Amino acid sequence: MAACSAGDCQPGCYRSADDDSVRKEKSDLINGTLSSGNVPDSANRHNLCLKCKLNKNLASSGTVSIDGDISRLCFDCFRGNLFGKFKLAVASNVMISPTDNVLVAFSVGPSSRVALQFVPEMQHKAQKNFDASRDRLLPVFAIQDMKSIVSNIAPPAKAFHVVPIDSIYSSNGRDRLKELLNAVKDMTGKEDLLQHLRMLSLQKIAHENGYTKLLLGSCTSRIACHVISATVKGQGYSLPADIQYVDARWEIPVVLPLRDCLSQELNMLCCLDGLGCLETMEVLNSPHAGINGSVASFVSLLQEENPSRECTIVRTAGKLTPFHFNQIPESGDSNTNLASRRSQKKFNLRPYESTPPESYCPICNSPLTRSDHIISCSPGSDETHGYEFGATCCPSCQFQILPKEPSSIEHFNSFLPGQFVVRAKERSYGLQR
Amino acid sequence: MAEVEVKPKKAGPLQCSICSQRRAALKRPKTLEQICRECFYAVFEEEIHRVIVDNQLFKPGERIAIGASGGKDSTVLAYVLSELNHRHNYGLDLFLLSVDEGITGYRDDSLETVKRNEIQYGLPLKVVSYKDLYGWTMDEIVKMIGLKNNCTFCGVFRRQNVSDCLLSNLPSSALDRGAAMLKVDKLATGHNADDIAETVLLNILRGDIARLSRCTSIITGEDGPIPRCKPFKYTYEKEIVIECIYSPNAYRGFAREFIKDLERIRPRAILDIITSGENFRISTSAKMPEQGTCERCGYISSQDGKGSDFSRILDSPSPSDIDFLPSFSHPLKDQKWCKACVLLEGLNRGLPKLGIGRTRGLNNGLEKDTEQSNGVKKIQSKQCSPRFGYMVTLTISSEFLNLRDMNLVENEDSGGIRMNISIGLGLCLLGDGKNSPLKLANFEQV
Repeated sequence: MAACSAGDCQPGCYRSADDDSVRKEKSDLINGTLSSGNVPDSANRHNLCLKCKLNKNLASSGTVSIDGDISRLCFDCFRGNLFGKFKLAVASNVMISPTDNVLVAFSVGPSSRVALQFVPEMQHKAQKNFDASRDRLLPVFAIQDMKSIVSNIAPPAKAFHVVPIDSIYSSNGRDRLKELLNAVKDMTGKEDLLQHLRMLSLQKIAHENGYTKLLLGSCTSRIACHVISATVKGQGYSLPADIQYVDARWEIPVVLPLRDCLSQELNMLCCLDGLGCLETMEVLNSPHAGINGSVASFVSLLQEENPSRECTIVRTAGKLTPFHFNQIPESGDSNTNLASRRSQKKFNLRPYESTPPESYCPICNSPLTRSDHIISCSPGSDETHGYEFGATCCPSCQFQILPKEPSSIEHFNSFLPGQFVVRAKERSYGLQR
Repeated sequence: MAEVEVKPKKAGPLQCSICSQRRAALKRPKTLEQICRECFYAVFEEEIHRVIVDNQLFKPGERIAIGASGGKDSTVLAYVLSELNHRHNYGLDLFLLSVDEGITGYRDDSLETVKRNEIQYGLPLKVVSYKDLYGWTMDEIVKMIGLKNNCTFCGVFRRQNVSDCLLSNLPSSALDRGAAMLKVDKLATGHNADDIAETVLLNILRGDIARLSRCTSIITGEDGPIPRCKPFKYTYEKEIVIECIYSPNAYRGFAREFIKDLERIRPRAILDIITSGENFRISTSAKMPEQGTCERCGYISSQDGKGSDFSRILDSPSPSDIDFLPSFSHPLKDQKWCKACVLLEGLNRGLPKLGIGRTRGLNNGLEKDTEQSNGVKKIQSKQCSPRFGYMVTLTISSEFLNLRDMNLVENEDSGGIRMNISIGLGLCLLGDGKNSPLKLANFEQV
């Protein structure tokens, strides 16, 4: 469900602005704190949780030193609020059905750590297999640390896959990965390519182990950064595809249940609840001179200046028309379909784009605009290979990932993972027909 | 964007990469090519010509007003349009249109520049003034609302929508009205690629989806009386600066700083942002409804090409005031006025925040008479609705009349009215709900 659309709402408010109970609650909240003489003991006024008015709020219990609305709630209400957002996202988008095997991508960062906590909690009664899988993007962490963190997660019976990205190659993975990355000269291109390869490896693990859903811990803050950086890279057309709750472009559909949670809240929860995690955000965002780092600094600056900025960015981008694959596809399970339709009606979800895009970029899987698709169809393809890989890619990948000099192209192409090549060929031969 | 060919290194200075004859004098900001001055001007002007032709901006015989602010963008625009009109026989009837806001000392320089443009390029100049259009000069408006570094109205992206700003609405509205008076077919403005990229980002940040869907259009307002076009849509600001010896210090917001950083990392990012903006797909239901004629000035509004519903503006709460929203009926509630008229009316009533969604508790009968007698300005209000039931008479000497903001806030507990005047020399006026005289109390500046 889209985040609250009422003006500058409290960060993380996910309810519809039309919801009368929200208005009443808000006015209660504010009247309760601002009108004089209503609360008998005015000294306590500032110490009590805004929501339940029973417990001491976080600010007064001395555990947090941050300003803002979070600190006016007590721990239980704060956690409850976060968990509520998670549950609502899952329910209203029918993300996870009872028959699903869910793979949680775990980067040991606060967001995915919370996801790992919430998923079993939500399903604790049902019989499920929840596994955690990690991608080795961050060589700074010892595997030992990771294992100890995961082993502390209850219930203890979980499969834990630790898989390096170079496993996307069938053989000689490490060297080929290195060559591929070295062939990319643009720093931003390199960072983005790594992300695409990461998704490839997650999809591969999910497929090989029979998982039916892939869960990412992407939070509001990360999505806000993606909105701005995609805009900066000229990806305005495909941007909506990446930022919805559900992304069913992939063989194993990807779900984002923490979409409405801010990184600040998730960090806070890990801190207060003693959830082991590592501050990965800083590692990734620090001194990168590329576009992604610049955008991250910009957004965090804006967020400091106005705590509802990240929400506003995601909400605005949420108004762009999503694609048909941004909802859970109709499956053989009639119960799921029914639940899906029921929830769409209940939550008044927008109808999505019905015409599927003509084609997708083999590297980043973004849908191509009609004109980009037409350009790539035009003749002039490489005779030897029957197709030209570069021509099938989106303009952004062509600019920042593919090599510029014709002499380097073959070298680059030789290190491409098989999956990219397959996608490109399918596209190319499909077009020629 | 074509990548620069790597040429074999020669001894001596670099040759222009276009003509290979003259010495390269500069690196072109958009493409990083090393080129000579002559080729720069040539390629600069040729690109504008292509934009005009490819987007069919003009038709032969049309009367085109060039929005002339005296700044670098409009100066270069005037030059380039008149040059291309001649060179490529567009057959256009070109005018310079300038707006005199009536700011003592400031506009004088800009107007001088525009007058010079008139002579240099042989384009007739028409100046319209705020005083003629609205009855207020900017000086008078500013005196009324006051001005700090952070504009009281705008709050610079913090709380309020800049589209509510009087200072940003009047200029574009004035340009429209001037153009209408001149009976032109189109208005050309000097918005450049940096401006548009910045606008795309700002609209995302502010959550203004309606504007986001329109801001990359090279022609806007086609359904209104005066369509506008932006021939410089793909022109980098840096290149305009090179074209022109003037570069007054334009507004530099944080978004513009960010765009400068991006440009350093990847020059084409500016154009990529515009491309993204063009490719955003926004469902029509998300767009602003309501197009109509303003009932006050009879004009189909401003740049948006759409009028605004007065009551909608009045009722839309600003975030911090959501709790103060009373249910009352304002006399103007059902009338449809354009944004400029709404804001001006507020000014006329001495309620500068009218129409920005922060005034509350406006009474049915509240009227204001301002008289200037013996240097004293009086603001009187008459008997109000039973809800408030009080009569307020304020007599404030003009020295104190630094009213920046007047909010009427109903305090339900005390049953009275507390009128806050924030910023500036604060005067706190207390009424107690009955016909008793007001108490004037000073409070410290908030």
